[in-house]
Amino acid sequence: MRRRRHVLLGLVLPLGLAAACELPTPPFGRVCDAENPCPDGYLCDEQACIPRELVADAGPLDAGP
Amino acid sequence: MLEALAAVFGLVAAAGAPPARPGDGPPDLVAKAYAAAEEARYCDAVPLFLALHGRAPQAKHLYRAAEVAYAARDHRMALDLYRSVLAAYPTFEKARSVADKVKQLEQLTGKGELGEVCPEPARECGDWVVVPGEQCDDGNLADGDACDGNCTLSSCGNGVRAGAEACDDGNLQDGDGCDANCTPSSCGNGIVAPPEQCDDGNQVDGDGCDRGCVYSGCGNGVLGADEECDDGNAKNGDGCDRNCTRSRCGNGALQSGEECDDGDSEDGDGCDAGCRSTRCGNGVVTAGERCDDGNLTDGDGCDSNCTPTGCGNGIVTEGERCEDGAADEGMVLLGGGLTFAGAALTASSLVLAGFGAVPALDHTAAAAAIEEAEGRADQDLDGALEDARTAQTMAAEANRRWLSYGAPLMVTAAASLLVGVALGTTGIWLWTEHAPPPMTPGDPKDEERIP
Repeated sequence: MRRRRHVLLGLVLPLGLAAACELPTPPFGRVCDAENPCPDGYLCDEQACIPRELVADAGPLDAGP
Repeated sequence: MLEALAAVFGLVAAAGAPPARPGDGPPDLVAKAYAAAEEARYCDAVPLFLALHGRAPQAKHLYRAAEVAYAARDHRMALDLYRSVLAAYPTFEKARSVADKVKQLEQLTGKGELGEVCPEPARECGDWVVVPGEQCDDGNLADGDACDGNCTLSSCGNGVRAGAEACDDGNLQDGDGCDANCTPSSCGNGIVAPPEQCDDGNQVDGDGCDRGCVYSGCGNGVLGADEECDDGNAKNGDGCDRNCTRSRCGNGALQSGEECDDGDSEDGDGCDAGCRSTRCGNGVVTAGERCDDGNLTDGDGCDSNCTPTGCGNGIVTEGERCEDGAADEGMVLLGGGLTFAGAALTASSLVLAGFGAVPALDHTAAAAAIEEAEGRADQDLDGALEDARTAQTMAAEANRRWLSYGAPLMVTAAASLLVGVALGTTGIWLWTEHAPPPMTPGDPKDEERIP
């Protein structure tokens, strides 16, 4: 019994670790809303993350979270 | 009448010897012959003129011989000689006179008037006349002038030492003190005589016949160029062996205390160092042996099959209840299996990694497109944003695939690689450690081994 548990752990643990490792994606153009905010340096404009300095030139912003 | 004939010849004799001309014969003999005639020793003169005719065949010499025989009143001899003149020289200028003499003498002898008979003179060597027992007679007793002082032709074996002859014992027998080449019987004179094996006329060694007149070669007692020693016998172990090398192990000559000697110090070729036959228990580790302590005792660290004392070596020793030697084979099989499994896992890890990397590569491409779009957003924000949204969709999809199977495959591939390498290494070690050695002469499992 104990052995089986070890085997399961040996298989599941790597898969779990791999699942936790999402590949990082640049934020530009990512869909955003109140539940999915943009990272620092980006603002959510028309449900898309846009660099903060470009938003200033583009006009009014969406309401923030 | 005979007196008259003598008078006739006397005229000739009185004139003395004519001046010698080339081809007349030896001047000494000419002078001697004419002197005998002049001194009226006609019977002595006959053989001298005949000897002269023998050396210089001329009509006048034979004619003179007949004339002095006629003067000696030996009718029979004179008749024979005159007839010889006519037969040998039919055109002789005095042929008519000779024919008359023949006719006259035939009448005399026909009537029984034979006249005087010249006595056989006592002949001696050096008187120009060759008589039975003489090979030659040159009128002198000098040696080395073609006819030696004993009236034999000058040559080796005639008993007269002349010219380059160191000796001459009158025969051509070898080994009697003076050999057939007229050198004293001795080694180096070119004549083989007992007890010589050979004689090449010199005392140089190594030319086929060595000093002492023995054949060049090992065992003749003469040190040759390619010999370490030569004690003149074919015994081994007496300091110099029969192959003319000094007695020692490795010289190729078997001697007391050696089991073998193959002439080298190489091990495992049938005769090992120390001149012991290649086999388990001779103290020399050779092919097929993992140890060799010089005995066949089991349990002393190296067992009688030349494997280290221990479980699995096929020898039951202290502390073991059984031993069939199969443990090794099992280990070898296990090692082979592990090696195969390790190789399979390693190969499969590469395949897994390949599949797992596909979503990551797709995501990398999408991320690059997003960054590229962001780079040109300050010029065309709307266009760049549109492209970025599309790339974000692709990145999200790649991320989803990465999380669903890409990452697990990569983790599994890494684990497979680690396990495969570990298994392969272990398998190879087991296999090499327990693989049976190849069977070779002297193998401990050979039933012919010497106990």
